[in-house]
Amino acid sequence: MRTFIAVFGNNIHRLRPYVASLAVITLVTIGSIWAAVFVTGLQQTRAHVAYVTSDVASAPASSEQITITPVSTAPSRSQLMCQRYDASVTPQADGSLAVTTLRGDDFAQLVRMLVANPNAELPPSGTDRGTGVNVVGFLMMFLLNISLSCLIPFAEDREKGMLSRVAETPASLIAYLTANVMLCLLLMTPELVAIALMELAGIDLGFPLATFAGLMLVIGLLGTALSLLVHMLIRKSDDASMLGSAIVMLTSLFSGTFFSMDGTNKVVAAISNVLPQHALMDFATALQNGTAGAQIGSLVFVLVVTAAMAGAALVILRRTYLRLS
Amino acid sequence: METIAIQARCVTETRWAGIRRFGTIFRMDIENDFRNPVLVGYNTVLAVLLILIMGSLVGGLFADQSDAFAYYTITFCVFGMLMTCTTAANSFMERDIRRPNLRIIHSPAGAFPIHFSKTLASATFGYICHVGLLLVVCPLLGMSLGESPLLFVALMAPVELASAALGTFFCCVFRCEETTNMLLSTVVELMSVLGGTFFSLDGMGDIIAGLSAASPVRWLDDAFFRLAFDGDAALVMPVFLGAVAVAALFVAGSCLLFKTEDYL
Repeated sequence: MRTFIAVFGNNIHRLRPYVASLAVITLVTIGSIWAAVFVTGLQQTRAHVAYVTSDVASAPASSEQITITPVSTAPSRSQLMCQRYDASVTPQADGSLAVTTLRGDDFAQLVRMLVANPNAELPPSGTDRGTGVNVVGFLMMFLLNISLSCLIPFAEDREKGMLSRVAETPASLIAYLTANVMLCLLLMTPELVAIALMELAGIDLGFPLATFAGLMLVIGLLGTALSLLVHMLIRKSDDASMLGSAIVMLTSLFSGTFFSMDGTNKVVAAISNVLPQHALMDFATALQNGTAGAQIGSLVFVLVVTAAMAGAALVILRRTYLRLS
Repeated sequence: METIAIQARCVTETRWAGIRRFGTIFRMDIENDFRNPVLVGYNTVLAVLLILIMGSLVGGLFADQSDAFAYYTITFCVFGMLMTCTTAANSFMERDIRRPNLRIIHSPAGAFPIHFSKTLASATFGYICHVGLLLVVCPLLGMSLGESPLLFVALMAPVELASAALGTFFCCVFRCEETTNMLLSTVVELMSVLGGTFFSLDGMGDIIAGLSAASPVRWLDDAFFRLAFDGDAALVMPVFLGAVAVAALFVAGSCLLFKTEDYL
């Protein structure tokens, strides 16, 4: 216990030069919560359309499902690429509509229908994600990145050879490691406080605070285990943390944390199904739908992956760096 | 008369010697960048993976597959160019490089080649990586860079230089590689998210579209988009001059703030 307190306090002290950058990361993470709430509210509108006409008054009015902007010249291809508009609609002399879009014929048909009748009844769109699931998804990549940076003191110890000295002392290695892992959880408290404040202010985040705390704990442990493993596999700490954040970015995007991509591409779906972030998203969706019991396997899968990475890291640690007799 | 001629010759000779010394340092710096597997991987393999992943995620959802690839090829190329600032920070103040730098300070080459050569080397390194990336990705995904691919590639050079100069400058300000890297990469990532690098924000209402239009990343993206998709070179000159000005500003700032004694 004394080792734990000493190392923990010392680590906090050692993070002081990084306060500015940690503050920036924390602010970005908190911003992502807000972005998730915002994006969930947006999913109603189906299309943004540029209506090419010289007579503004002749353009049909926008509705909840479609935004219609009258323009005098057709939007350029780069504007369609940037999704400034999803489609450009030009009324023809014979009363039909010429639709230019990058999104295929089905979408063009939808636009034609909506421009003709902005309040048409449509089948509901496929997204089943509520605010809570989106918040968890948006937070995922940032929280994993934070837990990567919390091992800075540990990586320094290892690089400078302090680690083998610690191992020689009577101090408990487990207490030493726990202190480093706890630092990661400490770095996540600002986000948790932000969520608590937002819920107190009456913003609907989808899940109660305790659920967020639990999910963040799981994400934090996953990130720390990955970070430990990467640092054990790569000697240079800069290279290790860069590789770690690359892994986090790629796997998080692949898991569809920012937007669900189930069923868009078979190869993508196959890869994303074996990623722990995807399992966590499944679990969060189940939590939202009240079927968490049936999806408990996803949570167990995440914990098993975490334990496996941590276990592998510990084995390498003992073999390579400690040289215990 | 003779003394003036000798003096002039001395000056020219010292100038040539200075350029030669600079060349030596520059070559070492570039080799150093290319020897770092993480840097090379970040600027090539990771970028290709990001283009492929984001392209296949979004393809069919918001745009045709080929359009999605074209969009992400350009945004991630711009993202990579802006991330050159972390390459510069890395090659300027990394722990293993501090000692050799210390020796250069005490050599006749002086202090200027230390930071400027790192800026130039990182920019060149990034430029080679990203042009190589385009050379591989464009034929692979069957996309074109518009009517004037040479102009497209030429416009990348000053952007790389400005980005590298930014990295070196902040190293001189913070005197620490880790802080610089963390801060700059977070700022670049944030600007990129706002600018639509990962997914376009233009369809999300006027407020968000306005925020997105305020991001410098978006200005760069726009210039390259227009060049590639519309064949419109109107934004080339402003971006070119702006990038050169930014590069000059930060190089001058580095000269001002770089104190050799900080290394001791």
